[in-house]
Amino acid sequence: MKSTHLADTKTSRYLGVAGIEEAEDFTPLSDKDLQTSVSNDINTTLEKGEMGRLFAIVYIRGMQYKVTPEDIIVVKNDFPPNVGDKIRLEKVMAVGGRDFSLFGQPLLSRSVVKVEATVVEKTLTHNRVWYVFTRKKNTKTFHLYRERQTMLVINSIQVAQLPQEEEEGGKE
Amino acid sequence: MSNNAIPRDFVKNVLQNGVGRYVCQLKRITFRFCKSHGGSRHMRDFIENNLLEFTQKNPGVVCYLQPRRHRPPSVVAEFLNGRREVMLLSGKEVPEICKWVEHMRTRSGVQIVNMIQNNHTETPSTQGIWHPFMFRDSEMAATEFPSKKFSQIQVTGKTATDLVLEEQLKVSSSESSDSHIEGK
Amino acid sequence: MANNRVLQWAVMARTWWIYDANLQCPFRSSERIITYLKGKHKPIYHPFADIGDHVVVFNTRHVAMRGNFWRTFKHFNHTRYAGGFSQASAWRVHEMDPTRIMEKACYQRLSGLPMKKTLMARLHLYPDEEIPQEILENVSGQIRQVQVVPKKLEDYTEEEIQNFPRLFEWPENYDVESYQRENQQEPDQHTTKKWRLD
Repeated sequence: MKSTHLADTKTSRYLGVAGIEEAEDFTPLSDKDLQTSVSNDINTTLEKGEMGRLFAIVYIRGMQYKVTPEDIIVVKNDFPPNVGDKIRLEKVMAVGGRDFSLFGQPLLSRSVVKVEATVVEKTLTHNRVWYVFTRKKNTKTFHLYRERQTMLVINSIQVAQLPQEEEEGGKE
Repeated sequence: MSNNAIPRDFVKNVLQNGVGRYVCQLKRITFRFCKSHGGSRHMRDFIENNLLEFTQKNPGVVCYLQPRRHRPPSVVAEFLNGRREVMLLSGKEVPEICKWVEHMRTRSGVQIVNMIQNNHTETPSTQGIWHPFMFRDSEMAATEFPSKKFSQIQVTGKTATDLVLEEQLKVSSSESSDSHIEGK
Repeated sequence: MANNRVLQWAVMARTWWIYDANLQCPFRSSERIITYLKGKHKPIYHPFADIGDHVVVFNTRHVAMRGNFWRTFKHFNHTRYAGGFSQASAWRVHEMDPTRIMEKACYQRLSGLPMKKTLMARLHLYPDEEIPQEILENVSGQIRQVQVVPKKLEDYTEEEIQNFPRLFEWPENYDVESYQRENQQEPDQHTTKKWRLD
């Protein structure tokens, strides 16, 4: 059991996918009336579809990207998904629209946000120079190296209605 | 980096490729090789064993074979944005040739240069671009400066004087409640 | 669109701030003032860009220094000619020019900046509360003070003094003023050094 759990966490971290246990829920505001009024406002905007263009802060492989639909991001080094695959970016740290923002501590749960992307390109970087020289020591190294890159295009960001229970809630 | 000798450019997505449907940007591959020369040996092996698989997997890519006498083997890839790239494959063995062909397939036709940023958006701002009056207290618009209210430091803790005065209030309130007791 | 042009002007606008230096430490105030001069309070900050704001500082005459800095803190000057070195304590400089202490505090904090002179030109110093009207009209924000301004005994009303809690009451026939007169100490009596005029 232990080895599979380790393997899962390894692959999930490698792929930029969060395990469900790792995602934490919101902490509610101390003022309950404010909490409910804020969640209600957010839910009405979501129902009416008035939130406009959403942005999300997405965590992939130790890098954070601020992302909106139709924009392109670059992920360094070997990324397993193939060209043309549609993937879901699981680790979402924050989401926002024109009038509201939701911040996770540190991540938002899967039931609240969905960020979808397509793998569009897999190339190599330009030739990078690795040159080291120390004077009077007759040492130098010169290497040219190229690393792999993957380009992702964000397709959509979807936010679900916030639950109205006491345990969970949203922060503005 | 302000040096223009190293070409650099922003990341580009060719015609918003993945937004609707993903389209393979490679339109044509030409495999150039010599039929008899030893340098084209691996290329000929690739064409015999691996090329059919590639063409079956990628029906949208047109493959040409161009035998050229006494010339080294190479691959010419042409992309949908009109760019053309040549890859010399002399001395490279079959697995490496496969990898380079796959590399051409997964690319967009954009030239590989130093990228300035690892992202690109057409809409960088969703909540509006910042301006100096964005997060200011709207009361400031109606105040005449200098004002004591916005100048005073906001103290969060309690000073010793505050504690003493609080104690006095407690004592005085308890005194007022016990005022019927004599001797006070 | 014309709207975008106006939005650009709004983002890059240079605002005016005002700061009350009454009973504030000049060095700690200068730390805060310089962030506004450089433009570090703006999310569009960049060291190459010139997006700092104007700051108007008044009440520089009533600035407060810690400890014995009025006596020991020196301002140096050298005219780059032989024998051109001179120095003066803070209190002497303050008597000569009541804005100099504040000005020097800000100037010295801007070390290593090529834009030093332009930033100092955007710092406006006034010794008292009298500020020209043209400058006051530009001001659209206030910088919060760095230190708590303590309430002096003169600022307490008679009522507050009467009602303030006491540990004990003096006996009725006790003469406090005569006791204080008899036991008055000369200033600096506890030291063997004479007063130094620094």
